[in-house]
Amino acid sequence: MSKHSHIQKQLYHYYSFELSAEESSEVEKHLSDCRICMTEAEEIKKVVQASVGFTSKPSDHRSPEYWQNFFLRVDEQIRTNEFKKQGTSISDEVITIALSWRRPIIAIGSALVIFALVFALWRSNTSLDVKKVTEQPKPPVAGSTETDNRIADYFRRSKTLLIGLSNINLDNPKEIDLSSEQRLSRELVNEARNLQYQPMDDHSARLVGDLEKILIELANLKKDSDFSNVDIIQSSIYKENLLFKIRMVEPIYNDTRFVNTTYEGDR
Amino acid sequence: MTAADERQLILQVKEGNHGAFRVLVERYMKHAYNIAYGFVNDHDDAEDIAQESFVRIYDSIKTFRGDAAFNTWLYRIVMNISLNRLRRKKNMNRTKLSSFQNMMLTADSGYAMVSQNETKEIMERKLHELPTLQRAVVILRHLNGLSTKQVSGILRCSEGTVKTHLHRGLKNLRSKMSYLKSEVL
Repeated sequence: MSKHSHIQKQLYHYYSFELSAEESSEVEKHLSDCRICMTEAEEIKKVVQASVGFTSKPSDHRSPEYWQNFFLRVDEQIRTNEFKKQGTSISDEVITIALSWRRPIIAIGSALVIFALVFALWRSNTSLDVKKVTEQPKPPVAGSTETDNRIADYFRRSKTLLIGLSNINLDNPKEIDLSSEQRLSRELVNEARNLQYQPMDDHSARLVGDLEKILIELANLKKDSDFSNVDIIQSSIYKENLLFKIRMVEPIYNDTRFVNTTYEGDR
Repeated sequence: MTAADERQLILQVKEGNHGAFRVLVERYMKHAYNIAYGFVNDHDDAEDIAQESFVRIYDSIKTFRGDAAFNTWLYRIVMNISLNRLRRKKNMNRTKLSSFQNMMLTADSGYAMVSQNETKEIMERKLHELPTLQRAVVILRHLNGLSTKQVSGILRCSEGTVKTHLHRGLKNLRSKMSYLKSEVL
């Protein structure tokens, strides 16, 4: 390696004050005699010094709450992947459960989930005890950015709700207070009914339908009697891979979301 | 946390200790995010890449032999996922630029007073025009402050190669921003 090449490689470290006194002296001595290397040095110096004032990092863009919940999102993705790897389908799960004596509770839970979903569908076709929302949302305009924003917002709020439900500790069911979750689920059911008549891709339309079932079930939970069914709702969320499905459709509305909305994790 | 503590933590993760994995994630999550952002220049993508990196770490932690430092392994994964993401994207710069940034990126010459933040944004965008290896070295060494030794471990090359690419990358960056006849550059 030539002397020039060696010195030029050291220039960045020289201007970043990373060299020893001896090394710095060697660089300075060479630069005083070499015009070519001095020109190189000026170039490097400008870039290094321009960066000195960069005190903020990209991670500073996110709020402290975002970082507090970062691991939860990683954990959610890991769990989603694990369920995906298992390749579960309802029939496979039923067969596995039936063949495995170690999972009697899951077998009963699966049967209850199916019963609960059928019951919820029947109830939704007759009547739904949904409290009136003070403001009726305007029906979105088909194919517009406003529609996309509303769909993205629907999925975002649903995802937040499902994550919260998944993390509920069921050790003391009687101490669980789901009033805010139920209120949100009713709002989301209402919103889903406004959205279902708007044009959207097949995946999103199916996902809105899948979410509606869970949300209706949650909305209809009655305190003191049905909170044990929170476990069933949690199982449904995992079995149906709802969080994974939401993440798959979110990029479709990526360009239009968060234009005027605030992500709860960033507050 | 000392290197010995970290080795112990990794052993616990291998045994399935979820709490230990959480400690590892929270220790390196911001670094992973910053490195990813350096490549993709988009916060949503950086978030996805950082999360995916830790998921991959979790999936393959049992194969980690400890030959290299844990963060070297992690940052290598972040970098590879970032570069794959960039290759898949048709247009890297999808985020809208301000009218000022558009003017600065297309002007042939001109005098411009730029703030520190604006210089940083322009530098980050021009970074994407560098060859892959130069860009990787500049992001890891210059923007994220990793040592030459760490970068050489991540890129699996010699420290001399790292220094060479760093020098060339910074020089290229400087020449791409030469139209800014400002007090900053």
